[in-house]
Amino acid sequence: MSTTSPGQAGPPTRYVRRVFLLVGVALVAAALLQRAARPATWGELGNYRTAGLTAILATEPVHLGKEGCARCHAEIFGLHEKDFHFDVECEDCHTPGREHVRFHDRFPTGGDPALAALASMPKEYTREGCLFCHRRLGARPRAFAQIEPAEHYAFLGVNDPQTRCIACHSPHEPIFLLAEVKRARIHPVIHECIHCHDTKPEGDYTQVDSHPAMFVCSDCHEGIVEDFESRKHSFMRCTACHLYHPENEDSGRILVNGNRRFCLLCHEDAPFRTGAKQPLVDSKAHLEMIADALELDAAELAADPRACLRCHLDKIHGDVVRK
Amino acid sequence: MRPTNEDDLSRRRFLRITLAGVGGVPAATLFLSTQSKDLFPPPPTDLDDLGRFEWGFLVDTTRCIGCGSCVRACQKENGVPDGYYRTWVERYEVDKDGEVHVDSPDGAIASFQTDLLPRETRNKAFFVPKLCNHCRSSACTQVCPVGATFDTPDGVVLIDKDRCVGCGYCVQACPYGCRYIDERTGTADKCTLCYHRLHRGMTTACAEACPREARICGDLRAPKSRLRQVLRERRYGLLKPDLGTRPKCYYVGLDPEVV
Repeated sequence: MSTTSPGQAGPPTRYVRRVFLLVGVALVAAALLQRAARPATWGELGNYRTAGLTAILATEPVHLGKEGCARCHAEIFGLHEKDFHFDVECEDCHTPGREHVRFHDRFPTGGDPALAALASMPKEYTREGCLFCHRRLGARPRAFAQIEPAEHYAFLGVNDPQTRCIACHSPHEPIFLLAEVKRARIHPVIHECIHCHDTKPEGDYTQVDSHPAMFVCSDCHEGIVEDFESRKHSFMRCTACHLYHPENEDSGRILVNGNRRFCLLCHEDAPFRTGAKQPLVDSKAHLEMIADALELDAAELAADPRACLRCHLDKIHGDVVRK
Repeated sequence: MRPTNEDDLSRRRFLRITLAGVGGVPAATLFLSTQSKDLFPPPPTDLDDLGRFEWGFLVDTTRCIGCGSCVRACQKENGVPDGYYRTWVERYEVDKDGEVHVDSPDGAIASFQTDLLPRETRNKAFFVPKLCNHCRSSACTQVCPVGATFDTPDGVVLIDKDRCVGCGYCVQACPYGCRYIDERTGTADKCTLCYHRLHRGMTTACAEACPREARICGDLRAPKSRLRQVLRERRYGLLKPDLGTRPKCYYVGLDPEVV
């Protein structure tokens, strides 16, 4: 160890030892200090406290997901799954359901009303809630269903501007069954003029140089479209009833026809619809009257999705589609 | 005859009701939160397993309708204070002169009420949802002087709130403006990619709430995940790639106007 000259024991060795000792003590002190100052669980996974990670990991979720709601509300969930709103989570409209489920798991027969009030969820969405998605905005993808409320109400003869969307549109009970869409055939993409243009341009797109080729309904269904032009509903687009469901960018599916509930969106007589230009009908009384006259079972007639079309098909299509 | 006593009684009753009310709500929440532990799957106990995942996020700007469901869901899921947003939706409108107009009223928590530009002067318009990019080389992690911001083994940037001193350096360092100081705790805060949900087998609150599948969270290490599938099929971009932060938030249909 001693590297100093052997004859001269004394100062040099002592000093070197002292230096080594001092450095050693300093190192040990630093190590002890670092250990003391280092927070618990530091450095196990990386340069941070593992406890910081586990604390976040242990946080309890707030949103259940729709499967959680389906545990009890299976019936309405089943309907919702078939509706076009199938991708809208229950909790988007009804707020997170954790406390609600907790309460009802704990007290299946109903507990303290004060607690029940805390655990209750809003049953209905406001008009503004629907408009979060469906108000017409320039930045929204054109193919997405959107309205200008005043325009929509004027078109349908709705006088009260506070009328809620759910007065006509039930968010759970599908008008277009998605099951039917799934059965529908893959269809060429139908682009409407207004998907790209702000207003429907005059004339024929084929007259415009370098306009991309488009499928239009009359390309394949010429007879039906020609016939439709002479009918009462000719102001409507084909896809208003034959709903087009773009599942991805390349292909879509199309419905064969609308149904009774769809007709009644415009034609049902309702207190908020006093200024309507379209014919209005009290569907229940009307169906009973028809059932009486034709000696049909009223309930059976009401359950028929094509009930309106039995008599009124000529307002939409003629014999051209009947066969 | 004894109006004062009646006053006393009603005052006593008033106090009792008030105290019951004030104490009742947290007590009830506490009571309810101790019940039915099996509502959600438990978080993982073996932390060595975390490294099996690498979480990434995808935003499809062509599908976003700007409804703000994600913002509302995030707010509720994470208890984000009013006026602060861990995710928000920006609207870009480009006028005929090529000038870009951007807005995001209240982070779009109540969607958008009107268009920014009149139809005649608008060339194109679209929504871009934003959130923490969970960068692989994140500026915020690098600048934290106390090691409160860290990268998890599965690639999520998190904040240790007990460690954070609230210096705000990370808030300035983040090039995407994703961080804020939570006034209630005085510590930095931001999107956790719903870390507490991911490891229970659930997706993030915003991705779940999105009615258009415009937001997808998934495991970049799983070739069959929806995220990887979309990344294979679609063209996508990154925000500010030139900064070298190597973000893991991918944007389908990204426009050069978006910053």
